[in-house]
Amino acid sequence: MESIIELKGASKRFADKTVLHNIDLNLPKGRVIGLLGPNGAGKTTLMQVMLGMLNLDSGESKLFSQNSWQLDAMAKAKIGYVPQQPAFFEWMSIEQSIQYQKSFYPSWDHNRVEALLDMWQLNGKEKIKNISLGQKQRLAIVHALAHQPELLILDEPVASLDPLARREFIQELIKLNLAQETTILFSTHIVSDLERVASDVVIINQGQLKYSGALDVLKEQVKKITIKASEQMPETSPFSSTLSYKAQGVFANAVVQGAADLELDKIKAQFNAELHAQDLDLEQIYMEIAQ
Amino acid sequence: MTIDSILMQLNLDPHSGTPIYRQLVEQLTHLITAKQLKTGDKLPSVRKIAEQFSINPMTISKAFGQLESQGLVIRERGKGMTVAAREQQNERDYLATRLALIQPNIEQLAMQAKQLDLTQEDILTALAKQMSKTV
Repeated sequence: MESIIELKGASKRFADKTVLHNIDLNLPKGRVIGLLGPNGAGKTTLMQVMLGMLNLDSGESKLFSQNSWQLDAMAKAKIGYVPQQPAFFEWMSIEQSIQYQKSFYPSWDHNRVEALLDMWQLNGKEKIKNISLGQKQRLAIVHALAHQPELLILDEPVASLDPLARREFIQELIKLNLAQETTILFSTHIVSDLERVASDVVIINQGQLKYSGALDVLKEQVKKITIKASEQMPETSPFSSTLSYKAQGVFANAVVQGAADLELDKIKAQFNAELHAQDLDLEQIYMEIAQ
Repeated sequence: MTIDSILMQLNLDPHSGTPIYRQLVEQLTHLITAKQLKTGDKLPSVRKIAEQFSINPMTISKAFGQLESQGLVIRERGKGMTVAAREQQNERDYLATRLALIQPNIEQLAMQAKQLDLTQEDILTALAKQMSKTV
């Protein structure tokens, strides 16, 4: 599968704080990928490294097979980026800001711009200094979509949108992914939006990569196991890949990742136990992994 | 069954622990095995389901791929996915498909029976009684 972003041993420090720690990551083309992590996990730094806005201390980052730090103009024209706090010339009107943005790009989808402005009720005549934060974020998204990027990177795009606008925005992402196979990477801490729209998920915490891969696979791998044994359960987990474990006499609860039936059968026999496996939703899985 | 009524019958919950593609496979399998969807009926397109439920299109393609490999639907050029003819599913697979649909309920029943200290006989008797009623 063709990768659009490749990171190898990527590390980044700010003064004496390690923000990214030895991250290996491959993001496949054409997917919608959610980047999930608590505040301060390194999501924004990771995106800025990918885009060549920050240089790595060690390791490498490639975008469209080019070194992120040395992207050529062709590569840059294929990227759409919406930062967490979009910056505009506040004195411009919406219409003027769009004309200004347009002057930087070789291709421009006028119809898409009009349709998005219309859908999100952005009035071209309005001055940017007079519109709300949510409207500014939508305008930034219009800017980022207008030149038909192959890769769209969005930093917390829905944070200041209301639920209805969030749903419309997600629908727009899906249409975009369907129509042009645009690869979309977006960071969020709102798990429910990600669960709906993402095919793949990257989870980071404290600068470390915790998971990268298909969301379906993650949901199928991680199980909560309830154990009732006929003898005392051990204090430490008998499972090989344990995310969390707690034992109390003959009872135990474990959250495990990728435990095969064979392993479950072995533990069942070893402790003469009854095991019950249960699916977890992404929020529960995230809590377990991010701990 | 029309495409709109299929869409109305689907109930996809992105926040469930069951992956969306599996929910879709289960629900469509249900409609097909229960004969609500008949041979030759057209399924809604990937795009239509993706937009209607605001879910990732790849998830839906994956579900269609599974249904296709199970022989429940066929991909027809220019027509999209249609429900396969009954003969194309052999009898044994058909039984297995239907049993798989009810398996989660059986597991839950077995677990609750154990917790309540009910024997296999107790459960089978109760189940037989219930089933004779429902017929």
